[in-house]
Amino acid sequence: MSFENIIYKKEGKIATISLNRPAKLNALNEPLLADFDEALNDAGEDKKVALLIIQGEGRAFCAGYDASGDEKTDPAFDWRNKPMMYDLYTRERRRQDRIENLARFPKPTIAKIQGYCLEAGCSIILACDFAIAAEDAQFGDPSVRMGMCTDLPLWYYVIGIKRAKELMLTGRTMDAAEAERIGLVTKTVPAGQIDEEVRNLAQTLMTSPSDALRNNREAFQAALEARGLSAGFRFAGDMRVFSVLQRPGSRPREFNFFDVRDKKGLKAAFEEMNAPFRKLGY
Amino acid sequence: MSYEHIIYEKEGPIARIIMNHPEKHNPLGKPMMREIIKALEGAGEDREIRVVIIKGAGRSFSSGHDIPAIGMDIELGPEYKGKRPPAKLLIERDEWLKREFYQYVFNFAKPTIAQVHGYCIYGGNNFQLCCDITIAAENSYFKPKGDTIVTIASYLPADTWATGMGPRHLGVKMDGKIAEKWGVVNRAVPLEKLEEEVEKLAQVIAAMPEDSVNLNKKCLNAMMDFDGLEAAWRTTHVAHAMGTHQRVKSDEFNIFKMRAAEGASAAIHARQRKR
Repeated sequence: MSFENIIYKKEGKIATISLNRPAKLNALNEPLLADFDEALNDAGEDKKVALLIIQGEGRAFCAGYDASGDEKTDPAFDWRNKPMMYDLYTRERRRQDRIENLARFPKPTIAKIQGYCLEAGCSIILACDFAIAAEDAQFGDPSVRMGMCTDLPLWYYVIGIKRAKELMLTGRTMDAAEAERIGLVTKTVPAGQIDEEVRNLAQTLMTSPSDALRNNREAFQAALEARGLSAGFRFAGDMRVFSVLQRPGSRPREFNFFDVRDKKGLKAAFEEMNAPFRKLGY
Repeated sequence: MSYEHIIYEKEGPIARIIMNHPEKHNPLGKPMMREIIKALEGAGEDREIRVVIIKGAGRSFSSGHDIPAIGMDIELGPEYKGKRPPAKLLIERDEWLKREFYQYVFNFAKPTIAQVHGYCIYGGNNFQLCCDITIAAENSYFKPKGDTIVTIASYLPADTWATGMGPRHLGVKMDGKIAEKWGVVNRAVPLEKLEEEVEKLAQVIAAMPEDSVNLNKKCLNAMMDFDGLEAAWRTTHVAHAMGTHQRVKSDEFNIFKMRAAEGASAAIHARQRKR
């Protein structure tokens, strides 16, 4: 199978999905996500595949959903045009189902992270069983700074309420050492050793029978769902739709990320968005 | 608005509620709790306010519920002096605490930051857990549950939920650094840096888009409800009310008897010597 926006490989029992828009720090746009869905489905169905690795090409794992303007390519999502709630629900459910599908994937999953891992990048690694990070990795979800509600259900279960609240109310990023300390990643290693670390972990996992792995994985997922994970996904998705309908940045004197982006470009918009917080060390 | 038990400060988008009974390490007596809620109500309605800092005057954040007052006639009325109060009244008192105090703080629409130093024990720890973010002094002293005083259920299951530690830290002691490690607080910093860190954080939150902050807080609180928080809260507050009906065997230390005879302070010290 060959794709335009990802590299999908199967070697022995290991399938690997590499996000492949390195010039855009592997930002997730709709074409990439369509490729991702197809590969994920194949890796799940293919009985010869025992384990899935998700990684990113280039210097970053994933910078999140492409903020350069999917609402421009599809006017249904431009909140300055008063989008229909119907369309926003449809997009949000598709996004959340994808993350939930990954969390419910029938085989062990390992995320390999270097550089930026932001917003939806974090949603992906939170849904994987293991996250191995290079020391240069940076994690966080700045959605709140853009005026958007965060995709936060898995954050809550993985790192706990206090930590999730601080991250989601400040939108700050953290380094790999902190991510390891709070349990967001399984292990942090020097960049030069990450391939070996992931390979060893994959080999170790595959010494267990596939039934045992599936059995354990289902049990963990069942426990999370018994604790309300699915309800959380639904509610958080609704809140994200709400925050888009609210038209972020539309309040008086509030920073409008999307206007600044359209006038000065994406990079400048991020710079301007982060400047007041960076000054305070956040 | 004037307050007797707290100090309420306002500076631009930041409000500060300072518990102000430093001589007793800021116990959460009902009058103080009422004033905290009143101040929060004011901060909630004040369109300028974006974030509320909660802290204690003097040496500590809070030493928990007001032990000399709990269950005594000053709360339940003179006709119960020397008598076991009816279950209905005990449960009502706990419902008040749950609904009107802890849940009011927990569900408060604007972000809250607890600035913790010194003692932050029992009810004081519950209080900081109901705040969104906690920055603590490294040398602060946490004790989540009342096993030193009386072995009763925690008011607030949030500590176990917050940390995922489960019940195994019943009554365990923590300094700020351990509390950070377990996720009971967000960060432990040297005492002399505490104020600065909290003020910086408050400025960061005050500069965030108000709507997304509000939605994110609501959403994370909802996650805790999906995770069973409300149900757990219900069971623990009844268990807490039941706690005062514990029997004490003749060879066991009876803190209630001693409190009645010699006062709360003597009883607590005597209990601590037993450990």
